Amino acid sequence: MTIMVIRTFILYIVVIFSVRFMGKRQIGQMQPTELVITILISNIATISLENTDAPLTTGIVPILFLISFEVIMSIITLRYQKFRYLVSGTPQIIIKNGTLDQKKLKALRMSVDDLLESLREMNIFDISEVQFAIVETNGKISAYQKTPYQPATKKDVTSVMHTTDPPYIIINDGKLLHRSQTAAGITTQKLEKILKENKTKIQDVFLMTSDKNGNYNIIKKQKKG
Amino acid sequence: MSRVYTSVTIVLSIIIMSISYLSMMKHEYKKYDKLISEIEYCVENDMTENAIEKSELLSSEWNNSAKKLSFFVSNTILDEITDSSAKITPLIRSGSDEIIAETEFLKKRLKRIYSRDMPYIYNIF
Repeated sequence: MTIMVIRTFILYIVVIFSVRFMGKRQIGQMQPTELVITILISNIATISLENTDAPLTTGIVPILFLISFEVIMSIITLRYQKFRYLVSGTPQIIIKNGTLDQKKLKALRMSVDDLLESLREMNIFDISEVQFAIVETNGKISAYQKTPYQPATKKDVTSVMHTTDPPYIIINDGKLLHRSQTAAGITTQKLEKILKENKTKIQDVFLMTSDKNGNYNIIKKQKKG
Repeated sequence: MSRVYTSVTIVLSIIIMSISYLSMMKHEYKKYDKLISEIEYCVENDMTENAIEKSELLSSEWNNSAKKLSFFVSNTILDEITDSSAKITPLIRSGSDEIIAETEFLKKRLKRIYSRDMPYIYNIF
């Protein structure tokens, strides 16, 4: 039993390290190779956990080898376009100027229902509104609407444009985040002044956010009882 | 780029580890094969004291080797060899005919561990 717990802990560390080492992509964004590697890792880890008779190295070594190989392969695919197309495939245009390419859709083994569902998720309910729809290498569909159907942006309705950063979290659950404080340009004196104005202390603040223009928002901690 | 260097280091380490393991296994196999052959020779030529001495050496040496090999080899196979090596001394003392069968069993087991990790095509597929 103890051995199993220790083995599980070691494998947990190895799998977490491996997944982190692979990068920050989510399952939906995975390339085919990454998906294959993820499935293989989970299977290898399971076998090593179940079979305590086999040495742990028979689980750890293949996992580390797969991950390292994946990183090396990703560098090769980055450098050599042809190899990338071979491994990951190429994006396919399935709607061009509102016209559906049925041959491509068949070749991709994708039904019209799948396509329409993906378009609806992007708030597009009519194929004729689509200028381009592309099936990406990870299987996701990207659509570019025709100009009349594109939603208006701030750029379309105003000539004044200021790009601002989103608000920074200055205090999180009573803890001052120095890095965000510096990024938001709030000096310690200014922060003390703000807190004084709001009759509170850092440790009593649940959340404080502030942008670079000095607009801030404070949520005090709820008192117990 | 550090990830790539780490990956290359891991791959190279695994390759070096595999080669080291194969060479260690080859060395161990030859060592025990020789020792078992010596035991067989002593038994066949009625050199019982010598045979007992060598069989005890085999048993104690194997215990150390088994610990090293347990990083790479399944415990079941190692346990089989440990059990079998422990039987040799009592069998020599009792003058049993089964001694040669037991030593042959040991040889075969050791050869199996050694040969199944060699990169032969039949091992891969």
